[in-house]
Amino acid sequence: MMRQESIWKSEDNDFEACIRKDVLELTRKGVFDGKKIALIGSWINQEKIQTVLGESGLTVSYIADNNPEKQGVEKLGITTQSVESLPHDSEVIILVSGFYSNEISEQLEKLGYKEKNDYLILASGLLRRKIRGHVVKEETWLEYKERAIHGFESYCHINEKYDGIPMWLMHQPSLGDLYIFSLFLPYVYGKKSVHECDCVLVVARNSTRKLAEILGYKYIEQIHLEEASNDWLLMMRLMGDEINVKNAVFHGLGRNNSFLNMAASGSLTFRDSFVRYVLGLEGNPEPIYPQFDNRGEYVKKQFDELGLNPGKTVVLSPYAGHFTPSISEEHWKILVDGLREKGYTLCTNCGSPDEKPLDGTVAAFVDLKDCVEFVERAGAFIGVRSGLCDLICMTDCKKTVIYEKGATNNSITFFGFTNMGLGKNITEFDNDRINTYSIMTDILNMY
Amino acid sequence: MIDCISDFENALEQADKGRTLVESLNEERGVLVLCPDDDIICFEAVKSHIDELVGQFGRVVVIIPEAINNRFTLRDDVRTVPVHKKEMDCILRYASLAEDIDTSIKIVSFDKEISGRAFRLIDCCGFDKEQVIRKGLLGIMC
Repeated sequence: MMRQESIWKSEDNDFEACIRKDVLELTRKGVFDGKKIALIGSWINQEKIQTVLGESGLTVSYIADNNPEKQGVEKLGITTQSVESLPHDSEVIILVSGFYSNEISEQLEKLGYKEKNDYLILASGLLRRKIRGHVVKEETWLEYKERAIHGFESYCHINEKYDGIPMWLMHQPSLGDLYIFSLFLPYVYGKKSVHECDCVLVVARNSTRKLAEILGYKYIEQIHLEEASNDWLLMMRLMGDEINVKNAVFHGLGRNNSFLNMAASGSLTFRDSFVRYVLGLEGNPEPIYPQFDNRGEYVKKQFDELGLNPGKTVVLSPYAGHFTPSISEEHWKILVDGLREKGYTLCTNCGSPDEKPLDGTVAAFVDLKDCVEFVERAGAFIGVRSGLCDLICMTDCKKTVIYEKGATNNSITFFGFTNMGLGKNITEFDNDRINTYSIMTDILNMY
Repeated sequence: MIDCISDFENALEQADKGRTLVESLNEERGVLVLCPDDDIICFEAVKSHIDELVGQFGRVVVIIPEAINNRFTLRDDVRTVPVHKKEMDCILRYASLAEDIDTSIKIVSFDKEISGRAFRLIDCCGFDKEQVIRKGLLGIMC
């Protein structure tokens, strides 16, 4: 239904690219010849590592972890074990990766393993770069200045066009950010709806522009995503509060993100990021929920065409734009089979042809403006946490939202509706990525 | 409010000068901490976290305004560089622009014009300055 390319995935891509580079190099050197491979660390990214290894014809034989909860469970078709219980012989090569690589390396050395002979640290270059940072080269600096100049020229053009009306830059292309931002924006201007706010919303994607129109923004300007996330943000960082545009989300103004650092150690939520930080509102203002247009006949027709039963349909939403969920097709199959047995018709929320419908369901490509009505007509929604969940949070139907522990940008503490005090009729599950099958069974039992 | 290209170009020139000043310290630093305000709390907070900074980032160089140079001292292995306000403005312009590619620079400031982000954390989120400096600005997580 609603998928956007996401800048959030860039770190994942960095990691995968780094792993691929290392694996290709090690394969070329023959390091894996005649060896069984064991993985330690990067629990979240082990599927990616397996995929990369597979590209070189390699397979994983062992997975070990120091967390007792992650020992003795199925992962990639392998029963996981403790680090200490790994076979210590010349036929096994251990691949270490992830945030705790240094600690794991120390542990392995104490257990008698030797780096390069017995174990290797993957993507270590990425780790070093993140920890140490680096000094700016001349060509990079020139490029930065050029980009800031482009950003300023583009900003001046829009600022003149609207004669200095305050601007908000929504550079984040996800719908959820714009939706939550808009729930509270009217308070900044002492108004009761987004439509009454005298401000210009600068967006960076067609999808966010479309949502902005649905939400009632009077003045909307669209710039390219790269222009927003590169040029404008650099210009804003250089100029601070000296210009007439503000950042509509809490991130983007540098990696040393003070809000995120604080959120990681406290009880701040996604809602707080807008209410308290971006908009600077005091107290605890009530959200001003928007009304979506009613296109009942259109949605009814869509239901008929898809063969879905009103009130007895579950919309399954396995995809998210801002992270790659670990819930596999096999996990979803538990729900699909079980719900069909219980007499539900099922559709998969698909935002693009790349997003395939789950087996046993039909693909639903639903227009943004119909998402609320579509889900209400269905009667039930089960999905991973995505921006769509924000848009439908107030619908009159049964909703189940699944978060993933440890996944970037999918924390139930930060994004959870209960914690945020938003939405209604929402049941939330926090998938620890270990007991996913039992979570799916628990969800099924609710229907 | 800046609204003409010449003002913006001036800001870029300032950033250039700031970069030159920062570059001159590259050889001797692991992390560069900017304490641009006449705010003793900032300086004291940095002082109390020197061990963690050294542990995480290597040698610490702290840039402070000349005005408070004689009021505080840091330990011997930390270099303090007092600068004039104009130089500090230039360094801040550079640091703000280059923050994500030179992550070894930490700005410890509550001046709204410079770092509204930190300002809002105190104003609206109920944290105290010390918490914001430690976790938010210096990124010390342990």
